[in-house]
Amino acid sequence: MTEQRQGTESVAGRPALTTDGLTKQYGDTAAVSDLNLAIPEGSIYGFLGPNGAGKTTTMQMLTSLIQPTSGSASINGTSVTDRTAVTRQIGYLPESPPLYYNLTAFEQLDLAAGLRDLPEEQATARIESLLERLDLREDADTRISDYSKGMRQKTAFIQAILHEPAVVFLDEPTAGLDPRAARTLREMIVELADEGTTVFLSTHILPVVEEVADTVGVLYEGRLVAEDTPTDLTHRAETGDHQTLEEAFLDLTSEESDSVKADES
Amino acid sequence: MKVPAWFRHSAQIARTERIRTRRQLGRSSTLRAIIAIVVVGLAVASGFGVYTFGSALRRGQDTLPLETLQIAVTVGCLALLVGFVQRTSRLGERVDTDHLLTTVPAHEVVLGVVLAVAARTATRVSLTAVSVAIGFAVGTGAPASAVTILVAVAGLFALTALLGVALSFVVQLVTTRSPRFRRYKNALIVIGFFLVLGGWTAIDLDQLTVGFLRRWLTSLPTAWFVDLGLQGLPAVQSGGLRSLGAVALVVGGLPVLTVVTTVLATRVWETEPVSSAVLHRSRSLVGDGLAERLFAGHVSRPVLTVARKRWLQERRVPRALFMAGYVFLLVLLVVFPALVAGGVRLAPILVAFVLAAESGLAFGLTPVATEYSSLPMTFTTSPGEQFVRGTLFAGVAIGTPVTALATFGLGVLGPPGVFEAVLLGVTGAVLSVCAITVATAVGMGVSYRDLVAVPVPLTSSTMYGEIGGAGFVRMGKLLGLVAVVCSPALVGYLSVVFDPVSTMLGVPTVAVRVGSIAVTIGLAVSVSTVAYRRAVRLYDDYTLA
Repeated sequence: MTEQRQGTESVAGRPALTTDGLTKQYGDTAAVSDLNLAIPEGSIYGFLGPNGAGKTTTMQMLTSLIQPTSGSASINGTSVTDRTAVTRQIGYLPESPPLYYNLTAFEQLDLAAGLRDLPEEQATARIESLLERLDLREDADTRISDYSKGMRQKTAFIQAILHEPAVVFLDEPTAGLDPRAARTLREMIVELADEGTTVFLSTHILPVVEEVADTVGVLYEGRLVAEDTPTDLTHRAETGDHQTLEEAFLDLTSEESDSVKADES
Repeated sequence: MKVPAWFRHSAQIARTERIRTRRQLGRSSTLRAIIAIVVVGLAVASGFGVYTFGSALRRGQDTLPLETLQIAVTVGCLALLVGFVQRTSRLGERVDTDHLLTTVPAHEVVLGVVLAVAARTATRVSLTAVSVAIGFAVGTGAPASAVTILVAVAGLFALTALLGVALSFVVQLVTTRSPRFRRYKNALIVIGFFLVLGGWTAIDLDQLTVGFLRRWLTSLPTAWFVDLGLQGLPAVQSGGLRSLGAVALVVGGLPVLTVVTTVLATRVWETEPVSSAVLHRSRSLVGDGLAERLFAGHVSRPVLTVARKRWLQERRVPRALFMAGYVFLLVLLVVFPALVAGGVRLAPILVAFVLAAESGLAFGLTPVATEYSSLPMTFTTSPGEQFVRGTLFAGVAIGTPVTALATFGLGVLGPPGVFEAVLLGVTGAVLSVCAITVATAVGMGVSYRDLVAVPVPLTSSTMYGEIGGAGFVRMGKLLGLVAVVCSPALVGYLSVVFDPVSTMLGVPTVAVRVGSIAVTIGLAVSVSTVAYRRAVRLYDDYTLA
């Protein structure tokens, strides 16, 4: 079993991200229903769910890219409907890296720094150090159109954390990365949380969540069906045995699937 | 008869691509029906027209305009060729070669690409060709001409389609292998485009004799196919050798081009692109540079960063330049007649209108499409005011000085005095800012869902944009609003207006003209203010849903 993040118990700060009855409706279809979250500052929240469960919709609402149909959400007390105020506090890595393909990685990151008005010298130093850390320094002057999927992913990850945001949203951050890069990224995620950044992490690679997350939420058909620490989530209440997070995830989503089907019938 | 498997596979690839194209275009069944009716109507009308002409020819009331036909066919072929090159490049971006090449042999994929690229045009051309061939044969009373015309059209069309696909693969191959070519390709295209534009304008202004162009166009091999098509007409005795040349081109050219295209395509699909890092370097978007030296301290750093990023994008793919160039061609068709009708005094205002609208089109009209690949980053990084100001600044810093100087220059060179010329320069500047602001507000209205990948004209680059009529409607809104803002000045500069008004009010004519400029400036400022607020609001409310 994957080793879990140390110091999980120490995470009990004030909520950095809260949602209250957050709902997104597309016509008759509820993409997200009545989502209630309270994620403490400096914690890593693993957000799991099968394809189409509503994870990306949730992230888009929390990053102000789409408006909720009802309910509310806030980042450090600022409503996500106030995009200007929210953007100062967040970093976002969506599933498709949001990059200009005809810029080089250095230009892209320079752009992100300029838009955030980061002090030039400090920004350059941070860009250099992050590029170095993710083995991109030598390719920083190559256009992103010539990059591999993993290199784009790394560039977009740097872009999301460059300004040291209060809350960072990561959608499948390790997709397309080689094992070494994936490990570095996991270490960087943990370091971010240790420095006080709240990380909202969505991924299908369950060992990653098991290793780094303080709390795991499982979304199924738009509803939060479970929320606990990885340890407690993998503990079988009925037998006292432990299972893997993958087994727990499959249990939760299939049980819910069965109950939903039973409700429908 | 059993269709060979290789052809069946190619046809299936082509059919799939056509379905994808149709769905991407998203045209309603009504619109498709209207297009079909128009195509059939045009074909029937062409056939009837040619029948009438053929009858006149038979009665000796008319002569065959051989040279004109040859020029029309050559120009038509060149246009088709450019279209095929573009379409192949667009298809190349989309087609899943990894899947296809591990499923069927390369030559079947190539044939599928050729069929997909040519199918829609072929349907339309063949309808008109059949109608024209029948009309001509019946009109002239020479049934054999129907056959020769159809053979000539089919042969020339097949050659053009294959050549277009082959040329597209040549460009792709050279681009893939040579970062140097990749770097200069867009610059070469821009130079070529403006040469064509200059030539067109020169012909328009009767500054260029068309004699040599005529000789060149009628000597190209494409013109031989006109001779081939007319061989079925008993009255035509000449052009036999050129007709044979056309047949030889088809018989020899089609297999050779097929092999060449297959080899080129295979090379393109198998070649790893050479990294651009060997030639490129990163340019700072926040550090020292001309923009920083000129504007730092006057413009906030985030706003300047938005503008510098836009300029860098334009430097890499000069999309705005192409867009402005295309529209320039169209606008000339309207502006020249207006100038002739309204007199030389109108020139500064008309030029201000054209250049202001161009600036808006180039830098303002597609803010969301330009950001498409990076929208989640843009919206979670830049507040509305910052983004809109940066976009406006990118356009104003380039378009406004050009517009103001051109307007002022024409004012100084023309009838107005220096005072009026300065006012005209100010009008040009204000109009330019107004057009860019209006364009940004209009451009922010595009829905995220309506944007699809489209090729940048004449380049192998793609960008996101609206397809269908929506883009033209936006362009129409911009041109219409700028025209409304311009109209007081335009009217005030007509002698049929300022002369009687000056007499009626008992003021000098210059006062009437300056008054009309003042109204235009006032309108421009008001419209700009409203448009700016709207653009910021649309940005802040924009969602990716």
